[in-house]
Amino acid sequence: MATALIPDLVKTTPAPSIKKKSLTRRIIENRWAYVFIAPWVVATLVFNWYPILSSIRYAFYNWTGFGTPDQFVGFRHLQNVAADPFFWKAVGNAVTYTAILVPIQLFLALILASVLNNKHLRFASIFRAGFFIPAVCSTAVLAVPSRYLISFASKLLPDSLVDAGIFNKSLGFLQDPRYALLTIILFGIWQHLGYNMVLFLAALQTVPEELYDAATMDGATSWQKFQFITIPVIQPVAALILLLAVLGSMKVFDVVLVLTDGGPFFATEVPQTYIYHNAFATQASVRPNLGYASASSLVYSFLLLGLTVAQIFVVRWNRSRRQELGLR
Amino acid sequence: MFKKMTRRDFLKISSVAAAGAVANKASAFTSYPIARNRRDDTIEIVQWDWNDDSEWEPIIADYESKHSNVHIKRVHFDAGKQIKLDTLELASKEGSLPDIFMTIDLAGTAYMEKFAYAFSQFADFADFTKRFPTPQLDFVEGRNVLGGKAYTAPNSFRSGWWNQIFVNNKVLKDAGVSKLPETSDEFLAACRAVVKASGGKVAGYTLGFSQWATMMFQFFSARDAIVWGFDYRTGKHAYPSNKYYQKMWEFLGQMRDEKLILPESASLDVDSINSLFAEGKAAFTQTGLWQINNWRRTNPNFTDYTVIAAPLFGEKPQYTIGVPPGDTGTPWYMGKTTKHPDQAWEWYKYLHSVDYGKIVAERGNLSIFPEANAAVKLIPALQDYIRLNPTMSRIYPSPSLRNPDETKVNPQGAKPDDPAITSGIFSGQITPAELPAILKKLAEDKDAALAQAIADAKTAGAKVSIDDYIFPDWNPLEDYVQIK
Repeated sequence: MATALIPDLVKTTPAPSIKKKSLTRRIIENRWAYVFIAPWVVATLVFNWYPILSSIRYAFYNWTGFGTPDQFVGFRHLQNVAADPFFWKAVGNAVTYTAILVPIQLFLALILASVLNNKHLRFASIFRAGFFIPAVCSTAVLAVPSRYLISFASKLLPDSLVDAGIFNKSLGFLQDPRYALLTIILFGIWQHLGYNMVLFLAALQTVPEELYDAATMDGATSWQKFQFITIPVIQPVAALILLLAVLGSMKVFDVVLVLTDGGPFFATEVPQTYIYHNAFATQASVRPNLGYASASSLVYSFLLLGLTVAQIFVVRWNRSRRQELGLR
Repeated sequence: MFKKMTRRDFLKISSVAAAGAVANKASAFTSYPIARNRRDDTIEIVQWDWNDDSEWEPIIADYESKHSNVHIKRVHFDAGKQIKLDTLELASKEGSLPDIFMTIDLAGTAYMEKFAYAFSQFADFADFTKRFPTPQLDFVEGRNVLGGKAYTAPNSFRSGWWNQIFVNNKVLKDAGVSKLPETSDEFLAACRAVVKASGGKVAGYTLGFSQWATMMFQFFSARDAIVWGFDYRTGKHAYPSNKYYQKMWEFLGQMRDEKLILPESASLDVDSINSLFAEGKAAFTQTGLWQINNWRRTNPNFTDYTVIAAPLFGEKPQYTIGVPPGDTGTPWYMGKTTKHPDQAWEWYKYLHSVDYGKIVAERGNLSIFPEANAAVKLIPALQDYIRLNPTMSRIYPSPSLRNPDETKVNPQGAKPDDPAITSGIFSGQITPAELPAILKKLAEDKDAALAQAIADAKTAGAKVSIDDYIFPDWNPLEDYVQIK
C-alpha cells in the first residue's frame, strides 16, 4: 500500500548530505538580493518603525509637537483615553461604518466585477475605468461637488417628510445626526467600490476557463456556475479583500474629515479624526497635545491588532487553499 | 545601437529618477527664478510667503526698479498649509532659511530666537519703531521682542479680524429693514423680516457650520461673555456664572427652529457660503475681514455690504474679542541666517512702511498705519469696521507675557468643548434643558485641565502657578497694557 510505503521510504532513504554553508557565505552569495531589499528595509525602519516607536514614547508625555518632550505623565493619557466616552463612541462609529459599508460594497463590487468580466460585454474597459476613477481621486476633490449634491438632494425631499419629522431641511443630511454617518457610508461605498471591483475582477480572471466549459457541458446554469465554480475558486482572494476592506474601513479618516469633521456633536467622529483633533487642536484656548493623540492611536492600534493577526491567518489559508485547488 | 543595460547602469538611472521624484515631491511650493537680464552684482533676497502671486508682481517690480542691485525671489507656499514650524525647522537644519518669511507660529515663543534675525541691532531701528502708531503696544517684550531684541513688527490693523458680522444691505433693503440691528432681539426681527419678505427664499443668517462652529461661538459670545470662557479676573472659567452663554446657545436653537438659517449652511464649506451670501441668499454672515478681497475675485459686483458688531444680548457690552499686543496680522520675519541682512532689512522696512500700507489698504485690507488707511478711499464696510473696532476687540491679559514659562503649560481640551456644544445645540443633540449641567461640567473640566497642566509643567521644572493667570485689574473694555 502506498500509505505503508511512504514511511518505509522515509526510513530507508538516507538523508541527502547537505553541507551547511556559513551565514557570511550565504549573505555574500545572495548579496544582490540584500542590496535590492536594503532600501525598503531602511525606508520601513525610518518611515514606519521609527514613527511607531516614537509614538509609543510620546504617549507617556505632554508634548505639543515641537522641542523635546519633557513632561512625563506616565500612563495618564492611556487611562484618560480608555475612560473617554467620546473615544469609545468614535470606535463605535467606525464599527458601524465598517459593518454597513463592507458587506454592501463588496457585494456590489462582486456583482459589478462579474458583469464586467463577461467577454461579450462591449466597452468593458471604459466601464471599468469609470467605476475605478473615484477610487483614485482625492477625497477632498470629490467632497466639494459631493457637498453640493448632498445639499441639493436635501432640497428635493418632499415637505411631507419634513412635516412628519423624518427630515430637517435646516440640518440637511450632514448636520442631522440621524443621517450624517449614513451619508458618509454611502459616499464611502461609492468612492471605493471601483477599487474592490478591480480586485474581484483580477480574482475572477484566475478562474480556469475549462471549469466553466465542463460545467456548460454538464448543463449547469449561469447561477450554478457562479455558485459552484466562481465562488469557491475566488473564495481565498475574497477573504483577503474582505479583510483589507474591514481594515481600511476601521481606519476611515479623510471622508469624515472633509464632509463633517466628525460632527455634528461627535455623531460621525471616528478614531482617526479623534486622534487628529487631539494632535492638531484648532481651538485658541487649547494647545495641541501629540502625547494624548499618540496614546489614542496606541489604544486604537491594539484594538486593530486583532484584525492584523487575522490578516496573517487569512493570507496563509489563502495560500494553502489555492494550492489545494491547484491554482498558482 | 543600444548598449545592454548593466546592473550598475540600472542603479544609476534608478537613483537619478528617484532623486528627481523626491525633489519634485518636496516642491510643495512654486519658485520664481531670477530674471536673466540682471546685473552681475544683483543680490537675491529669498522670500517665503503664501500670498497671491498677482499681489506681489507689481510691488516687487516697483521695488526692484528703485533698488537695481536687489532681486526679490519669491517662493510661494500653499495658502492652506502656510509656513509652519516644521518647515522652518527643516530649513534651519539644512541651512536654507529664507531672508524673509511670514508665519503665524513664532510670535511669543523661543522659536523666534531660533529662526528669526533680531533686526533691533540695526542703527536705524529706533527710527523704524517711531513709524508705528502705539509703540507701547506695537513692540512688546515676550511677544515680538525677546530679551530686548525685536524680531518682528506689526503690519495689519490691530483688531480681531473675524469678530464682525457682514450685512448684505440689498437684502435688508428689499425686506424693508432700515435700521441695522444692535441687539439680539433686533437681529432676530431683521432675520424674520427677510425670510417673510422673500417667502422663505432668502435666509436671515448663514455660516458654514461644518467648519465654523468655532466662529459661531465667537459671534455670539463676543460682547456679553468671554470667548472660551476664561475670566482673567478670577482665574476660573465663567460658563455657569454668566447667563449669556446659555442665552447665546438658546438663541442659536431658536434661529434654527424658526428656519432663519440658510439650509445650505449645514452642508457647504465657507467659500461656497460666502458666495451664496454675496448672491443675496442671506442677510447676515460672519467671516474674516480677508473675505473682502475674496469677494473682489469671486463676486466682483457685490459691493453693497457693510459690517456690524455682534448682537448684544444684555443691556450694554461687557466684553470684546481678545487680541495680543505686539505683532498683528501675519507677522514677517528676517531669516536668522540671512547672508544679506542689510538688503533684507531694507525690504523688511518697506513691507512695514506707510507706502506699502497704502497698497494694502487699496486692496481692501487695513494697514497698521492710520495714515495709510486714511490716504486711500476705503470701502464703506472698512470705514465702519474701523469705527466699530474699539467696541469689538481689545488687548487681553497674557499670562505668557507675565511669565514666559507659561508656554510650557499645555491644558488638555475639554469634551464636549464650546464648538462641539454649538454643534450639538444646532443639530438638536443637546436640548436647552441640558445646557446648565453641560456648562457646569465644561467649566469644571477646563479648570481641572488647567490645574493639571500647571502641575505637569511644575513637575517638569517650570515655575508656573495659577496666579500667572489672574489679573484682578483687568477691564475687558480697555486694552490691557502689560509693561514689564
